[in-house]
Parts: sequence; C-alpha cells; structure tokens
Amino acid sequence: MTLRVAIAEDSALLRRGLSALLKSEGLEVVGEAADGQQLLEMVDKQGADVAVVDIRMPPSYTIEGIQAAETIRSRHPETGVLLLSQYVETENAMSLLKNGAKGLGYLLKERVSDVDEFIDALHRVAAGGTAIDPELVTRLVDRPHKGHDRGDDLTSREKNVLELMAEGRTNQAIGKSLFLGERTVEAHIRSIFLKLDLRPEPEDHRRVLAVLTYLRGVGQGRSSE
Amino acid sequence: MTPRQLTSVIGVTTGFVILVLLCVDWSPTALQDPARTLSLNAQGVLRWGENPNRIPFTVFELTLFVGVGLAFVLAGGAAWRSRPSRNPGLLLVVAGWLWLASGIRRSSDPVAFTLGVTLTLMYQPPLLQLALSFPSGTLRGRAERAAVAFFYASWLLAPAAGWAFFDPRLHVAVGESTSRNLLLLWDSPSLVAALGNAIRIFQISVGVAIVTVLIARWRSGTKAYRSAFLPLWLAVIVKTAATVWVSLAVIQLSGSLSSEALLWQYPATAIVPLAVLFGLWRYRFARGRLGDLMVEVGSAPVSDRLIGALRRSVHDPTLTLLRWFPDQASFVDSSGVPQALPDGSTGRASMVLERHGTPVGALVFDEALQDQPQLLAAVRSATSLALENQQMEQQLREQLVEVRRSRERIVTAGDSRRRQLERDLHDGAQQRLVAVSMELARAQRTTDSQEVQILVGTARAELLDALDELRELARGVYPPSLRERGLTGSLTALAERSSLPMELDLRTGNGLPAHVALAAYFICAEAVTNATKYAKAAWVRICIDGTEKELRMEIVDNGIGGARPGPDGGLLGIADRAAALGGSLVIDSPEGRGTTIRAVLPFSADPERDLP
Repeated sequence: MTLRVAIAEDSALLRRGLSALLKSEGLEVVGEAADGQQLLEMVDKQGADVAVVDIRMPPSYTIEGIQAAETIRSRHPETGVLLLSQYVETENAMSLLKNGAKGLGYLLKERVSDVDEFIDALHRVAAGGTAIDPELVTRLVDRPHKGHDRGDDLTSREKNVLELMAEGRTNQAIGKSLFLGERTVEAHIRSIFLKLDLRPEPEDHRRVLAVLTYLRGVGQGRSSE
Repeated sequence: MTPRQLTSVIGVTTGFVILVLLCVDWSPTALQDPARTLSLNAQGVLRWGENPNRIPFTVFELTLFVGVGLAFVLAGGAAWRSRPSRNPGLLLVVAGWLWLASGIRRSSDPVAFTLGVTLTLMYQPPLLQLALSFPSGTLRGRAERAAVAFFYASWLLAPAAGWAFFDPRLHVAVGESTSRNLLLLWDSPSLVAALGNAIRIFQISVGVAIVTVLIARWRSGTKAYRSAFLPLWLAVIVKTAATVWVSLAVIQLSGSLSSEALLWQYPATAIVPLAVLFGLWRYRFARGRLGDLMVEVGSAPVSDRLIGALRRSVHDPTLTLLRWFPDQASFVDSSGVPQALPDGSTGRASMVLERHGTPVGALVFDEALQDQPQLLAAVRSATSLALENQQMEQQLREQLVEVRRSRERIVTAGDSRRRQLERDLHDGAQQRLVAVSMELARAQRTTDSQEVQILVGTARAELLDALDELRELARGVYPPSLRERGLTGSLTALAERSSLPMELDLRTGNGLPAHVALAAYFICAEAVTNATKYAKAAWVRICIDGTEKELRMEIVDNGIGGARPGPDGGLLGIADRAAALGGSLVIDSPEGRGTTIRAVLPFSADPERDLP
C-alpha cells in the first residue's frame, strides 16, 4: 500500500522539493500546507498516514510544528507526525514526546537527502514507531558528566545498541545496521536495561522514551520554567 | 531667651528707668549739688565741690545716663538672644541695671541718695566678670570665681568706706549741697582723700592685673578668640582713657575741660556694650558671608576657594577640611596624609560631616567657634552640600566615562564579530558551495554515469558540511533554542553541546523578558567558553534564580582562576551587556581557586537607576 503523506513547510522551495522527492519515490502526497492551520484542515479533510512538518512555521516561527503534532495526535491518533528542523534540541524532542513517542519523529532537515533512511523513518512513524535524529542521540550519549554514571558500565557495543534504540530503530534494524543476529541484539538490550536500572519496555516507541529520559537525566541538575 | 525672660528684662529695665526719673530732684539746689553728680565717688565729690565752674545737672545728661544704661541692657539682650550661653548677655543686662540703679543718687531722699552713691561703680564687676569669662561667659576654676567675688565685694565696700568719712554738706559752699549721707561716721576730708587714693591705686592694680591676664590669654589665644575679643579691647582702651581723663579732670579742678570730661564719660562707657554689639555684628557679618559661600558652593566643586570662603566666613584661617577614606577608615587631609580628629586638648575642635549616616569628611577648626552653633550648622550644611555636589559630579563623570568606554567596546565587539562572521562564511560555507557548484557542473558535462555518481556524492557531502557550518554560525548569532524554548531550553542545549560537564540549577519563573534571557544566555555561554578554553576547568555550575523584577545568576567553575576582563576579552563584553541592562556583573577569580561570575539583570532597566 502506498504511504499517504501530508506536507507542511513554509518555504515554498523546500515544500516543492520535498513533494517531488516523495513522489519520485512512489509515495502519495495528499497535499502541501504552508502553516499548521492549513495542515490540520488538510488532514481533517483528506486524512494521511503521516505528516511531514517543519517545526518553525508562521505565525511565530518557533514551535508551531510541535503544536500541530499534538493536535493531529489527539484528533487522528492513526496519523504519524515527522517533524523536520534546521536544529535538533532535546527540549523540543522531550516536549514532542511528553505524551508518548508513538508515531512521532524528529529529524534534521538535511536527513531528507539520505533518501532511503528518510523513507524508512517515514514508514516507521506511519506504523506507530519513533524516529529520533542520530545527532541528538549522539549528543546525549557523549555528553560529559561529573563523577561516575551507570552509563559508564556499558560496553561500546551496548552503547551502539543504545544509540540506535534511542533513534527509534526496531531490533531487526539494529541487528542489520550492526551486523548482529536479532537474539544477540535482544541480549544486549536486556543487559542495557539491567545496567541502567530501567524497566524493560516491550514496545519500541515506549523504550525510546525510557532511554531518552534516562540519557537526558545524566549529569543534569534540576530545572524548572 | 524665652518670651518670659524677655518680658522680665523689659519690665525690670522699665522699672529702673521710671525709678530714676521719679528720683531726680529738679529743684535748682539739687541740680547744683555736686554730691549728686553721677559716677563720682567721695573723693571726686570733695574735689568737684571745690570747682567753681561746675555745670548743673541737665535733662541732656540724664538722657545720656539713661541711654548708656539702655545700651547695656539692649546689647545684653541681643547677646542673650543670639548666643548659645545666656551668661554674657545676662552680665551685660545686670551691668545696665546696676548702672541705672545708681541714678537714684539724684534724689533728695537720704536712703535713695546713700544707696545710689554706693551703687555708683557697681556696674563694673559684671563687666570684669565678662572680660574674664569671655567668650563663653562661664568662669573657669575656683581662682576666677574667687577673684570675681572679690571684685563685687571690694567694689561695694570701697566706695562705702569713702562715704563713711565724708559729709558733702560740710565741704561745698554753704547751702549748695543738701544731700544727707546715711553712711557717715564722721567727717574727715584727709581720710577721704587717703582712702580715695588707696582705692584708686587698688582699682588700677586690679585693672592692670586683669589686663595682664587678658594679654596673656590674647597671646596664647587662638585667632578666633583674638578676632572675637578685638572689639572689647578697643572698648576697654577707650573706656580706660575716658576714666583717666575724668580722674585728671576731677583732680585738676580747672577750666571747662572738667565739665566736658564728665559728660564724655557717658559715650566712653557706652562703648563697652557697643563693642559687644560690634562683636555681634561681626557674627552677623560672618553669616552674611555664608550667603556668598552658598553661591560659591553652588557653582564650584570643593576647592581651595571653598576652604578660603569657609575660613573667611568663620574668621578662622586655620580651618581645614578632611576627607573620609572608607578604604583606610580614616580622615585624610588635602595632601593625603591620614589625620586623627582633635580630642579637645589642643584647642581644636572638629565636626564630622555625614551623608546617609556614613562620614564623608570632617571640619577641624578653633574650639572658640563652638560658641557659635548656628554659624557652625550653616558651615556644616554648606560644606556637606559642596562635598555631596563634588561626589555626585565625580560619580557622574566616572559613569559617563564608563558608558562612553563601554559603548565603544560594544561597537568594536560588534564590528569584530561581523568581521569574524564574514571570514567564517567566506572560508567555510561559501567555499564549499562554490566547490559543490563546480562538481555539479562537471557531473553535468560528463557522460560516464559512474563518474556522475561519484561527483554528485561528493557534492552532497560538501553540502552537508556547509549546512553544519551554517548551523553553527547561526547558533552563534542567536541561539535558536532560546527563541523556541526560552532560557532553560537554550541553557540545556548549551550544556548538551558543551565539552565540560555542566550542572544547571535554574529557577527562572514567569515573565522573563526576551532581552534579559538573551543577555543571560550570552553571559553563561561566555563563562562556559572561558571555563573551557582558558580556565582548564573540569566542571561548570550555573545557578539562576529569577524573581519578578530581576534575574540573579552565578556561574562557577573549578578552573585555574585568574580571569581578568581584558580589553579584547569576552568577559568585558558580558560585563558591558549586564551594564547595558542596568544590571551588574562581578568576576571573582582568585589565582588557582576557580572563577565565579555573579550577575544581576533587572527586568526593566530604569535609566535613572544607580544615578546619584
């Protein structure tokens, strides 16, 4: 079945480019919107498997995409939302995922140019999975911290698995990208959850949230706003 | 002087004047009677009675007499009202009353006559007391009190002794004197003459003794004492001259000179209270100078001119102004030498000038000036005003200079940031885009599909690098997360990208203005850069506490310390940033003990905040 994609992007150049790219890859573009409002009307009217949404859109050019994602989620739980941004920031990711990571994605805009990866992420999100930008995950994993951390006990292989998990990959995809068997991957994941003292999560999108929450908490003090 | 005291003085004085007017016997005999001549003692009357050219008592002389008495009382009242101690004024008033009281000797009543002649010179002891206790009017020590008591007693007894042996009715041409002397024991002109000479010698000795004491005081006295006493000196000299003249006139017994001399003694005596009035006038004059002083102070900072004006206005050329140096917690003179305030043993007194409860300076002056509290109060306020003016002007000038400097730095920093940005764009993203365009051009021209793949692949990689660089540059221009997620989000992002472990303790509250958030972000970013690049720190901790009015921040690292805001450094830039918001930024960076940066950023920059 062809994936039905809605696009929201205020830059006409990128909007057209994205649309052309998706069409050439055989996906169905149900419509193109220039802001969150248009996107919502479009999804309401025509429905979509997944919406590709720019995070910064009119009127305030801040996090309209996240707000649109929330609305779509509540009105159309079956429609996935993949946010694109020139920057990826943890705060935005956590805000996007605060009610669960099911069917949500957050990627750098330039990931679009790695077409296979991008289409894969679209499919994942449309199917209720999660796609988190590798740069954001790397930043969280590599971030320096004071004193000893439970993450220090992980082997380098386990860290690789952790990163891919945080990106929202399935066990199968993790095994494929690390050239490991699925059982080995499962063994690594069990070990990771044990070492990090995390509750094992059966579903991929829930374990993304668990892992991200853990990583974000490392070395960070209290904060409130 | 209370209104009641004033009423009493007026009442008593009026009483004395009326008493004298009622006592004067205007019958021709009484007017011619030498015994009733005002101010003459027994010996004087004895000699005066022998003078054939005596002038009779006139209304004119009575007017002079009452005028002198009133002059004493008026001068005393004026002194009483304007000086802190009532003693000098009271002494003058009492002298005036005694003077007036002696006028009753013109009465034909024996009791009044006898009382009058006894009181004739009694106005002098209060004046001697005044001279000895000048300028305070308070006697110092037992010796002085004993001396004054002795004056009163001897001035009362000595004339009485003379009159005990003198019956005027026996010594003037028969029938010309009708005055009955109740003190009379027996009449003995030789005894009167002897007593008279003895008394005169005694009084001259006392006078010389007092003058000696006063000269000694004058010599050791301060300039203020001298300038205040000068009018009294002149009065004493004139009065003494007049007295000597009267004495000589009485003794010479010839010519019209003697009559004039008798009249001349009134103005000579009146000079004494007039000298006090003159002193008061000098005092007023000094206050008049203060008016000029205020004008001078209003237009000029503290300078030698101000000191000069202060010295002139209080007639104390030794007056000095000390400044308070809080660092040394001491007073410092004009050449920068610390000075202790006088403790009262050196004849110097001081007055500390305060502003909002903290000392700003002190005036050191002659202790005689303490006698003039109103003048001192005026001097105090004038000097405080001048000091405050000067301080404000200095603060203002410093702030102005700092504002000018920081404005220059901000512009320079902006310019150099632009230059850097241009260079980064030129050397980075622009070059890569040119390379991409060349690779794509080559791909367009080649027919080898494998080569096309390679060229396009390289071009894409270059493009991704260019994107990375542009993203970093844009982040440096304005942190995107600040716009999207506020200060907390942007600092979290800063912590995530930092190569140092960063601890965040953020309580920013609501309503944080965007410009404050931006400043706070750049201050943190600069502090983290400093900790990473120069301080070799192992961690950084950022604490931010926001209230409804301001943001308080503290950034601590455990690096090598010794950070100084240099002319090209970012630390000065963030200090300027804080100052531009009307806030403050302090860098505490002891060598080897880490760096702590504390800043306070007010939400609304009140442009008049911190201005003096």
